[in-house]
Amino acid sequence: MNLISVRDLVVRIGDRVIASVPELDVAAGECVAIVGESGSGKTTTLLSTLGLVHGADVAGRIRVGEVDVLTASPARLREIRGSRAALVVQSPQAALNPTMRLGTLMRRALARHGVKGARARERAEEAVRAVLLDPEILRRHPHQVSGGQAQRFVIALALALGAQVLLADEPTSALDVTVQAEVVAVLRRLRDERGLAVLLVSHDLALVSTIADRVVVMRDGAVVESGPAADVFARPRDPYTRELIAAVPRLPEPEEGS
Amino acid sequence: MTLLAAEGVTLAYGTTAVVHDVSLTVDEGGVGLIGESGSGKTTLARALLGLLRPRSGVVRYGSRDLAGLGRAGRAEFRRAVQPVFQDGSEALDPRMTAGASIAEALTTHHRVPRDERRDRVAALLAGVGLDPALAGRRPHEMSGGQRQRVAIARALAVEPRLLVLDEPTSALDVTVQARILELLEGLAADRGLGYLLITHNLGVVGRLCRTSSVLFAGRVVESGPTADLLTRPAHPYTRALRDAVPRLGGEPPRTAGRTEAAPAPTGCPFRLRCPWAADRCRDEAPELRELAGRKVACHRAEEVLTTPASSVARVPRDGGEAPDAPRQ
Repeated sequence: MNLISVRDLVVRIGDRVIASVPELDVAAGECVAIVGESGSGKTTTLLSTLGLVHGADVAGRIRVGEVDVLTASPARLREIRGSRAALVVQSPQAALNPTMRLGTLMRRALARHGVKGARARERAEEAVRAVLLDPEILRRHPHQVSGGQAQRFVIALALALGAQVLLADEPTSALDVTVQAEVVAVLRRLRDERGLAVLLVSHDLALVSTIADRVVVMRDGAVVESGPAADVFARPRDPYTRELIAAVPRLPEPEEGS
Repeated sequence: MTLLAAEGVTLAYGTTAVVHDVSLTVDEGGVGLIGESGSGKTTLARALLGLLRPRSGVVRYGSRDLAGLGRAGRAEFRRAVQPVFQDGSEALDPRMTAGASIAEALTTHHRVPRDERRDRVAALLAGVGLDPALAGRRPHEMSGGQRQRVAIARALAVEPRLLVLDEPTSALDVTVQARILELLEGLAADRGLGYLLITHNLGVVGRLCRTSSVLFAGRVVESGPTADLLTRPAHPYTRALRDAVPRLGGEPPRTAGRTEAAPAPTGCPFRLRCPWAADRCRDEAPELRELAGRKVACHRAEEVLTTPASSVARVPRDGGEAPDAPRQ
């Protein structure tokens, strides 16, 4: 089942098209990645799916779950953003109220969805464990956790509220490489074990190749190539995709033992 | 020839030491300094640029102690050793056009006839892959990637012998990054430009640097030929870094140990994150020692060196406890 479905999306500022995507679907249990460089329109496309593009004309059809994003009421949109779909950005710490413990943040969010008391505590701890964090973290304030922990906490918050769709905009690019690997492991796990639909925007092709099922390559607002990740990376058809792949710095292969 | 060297350098802010007894040599060709946030790599770079005086130890420029340089010596040092930081806008005056910034660097240290300046600026901009027409723009009229490339062009205008690059490409698109790396490779080959490249990006280090040092919690934990470090790491931290790098079309990156654990105050600083940690690592801090053509600070380096990649657990289980690893 497609949890995100985009058709004939065109985002314009004045006469200029900043993103044009004919077709983009993300099914439950699937990770689709949009890759491209600055100005490619990848983040605009991602934000469009939550109705978060402002100051531009957005045309086409966008569905998240059962909701038609472009015609939905503001209240209905807030509801999807709050519980159905979660947005994960590069620097999550800025989105967390610095005066509240993470547990309080989580409890308040759950209370708004009618989950309270022992059930809320249980749900919070379960969500935090699902992103490979120790529930002890709920007692801390945002400045007392690392960037990678904050990133995973934001994902846990979405899980606790029952999100089925995860939209991630460069979720690892501000993180150290070992921490990056953990966030990727968490995303893979949620996709495989909980059937989340993950739409990932990244400029890191190597990272994308290790998690995405399908890939959309964008340049200057347009899709230049899309298809199963394994095909696109092994046999890129578009010259720009080939250029992007060639630009990734390679590591020498590890020697096994000896 | 050694251009710049740290010898037993310890650096501190107030009473907190952040770099401990680090020795490092930069010669012609590239040298990598690898570490994650909080490893002390940027503090070490500041000391190598003469911006921070060591608490103990010596920074040498050629054979001379940086702290003992006279006025003329300092001027020569500032010309010969140019920094490039992650955010190019730090190096650019917001009121000056890109062309004026580069021309200023050209004429401060060299006599360049007025009628040649424009051509030299254009050539420097073209060298970093920018349209010479950009010379008329001010920093706020450029993208981050363009600013970074102007900052590199400005550093090169001085014709330095050595660049100290602190995460120079991490804000750039991959195709732009590839272009900058090519430029640096060319300058090293053609002009013998030396550079110290400070980064957490192992792919970039692997491409540009003949030798590298890995810094953890302000200490060098492994140093030697970059290719050896990346193909057969002897320190568990080097290995964790290498395994965490995603490979195009490869297996998912591995995570090993608890990345959130703070460096241990006693014994080996890496032991709380280390899948190989044993009793000895708690009691005794490992010293840097020679092994397999490199230097490594690990009691169990021989085993790390010979354990196949596949036998270390890939992903921590629930709660993120350390993976099952070979225990003593």
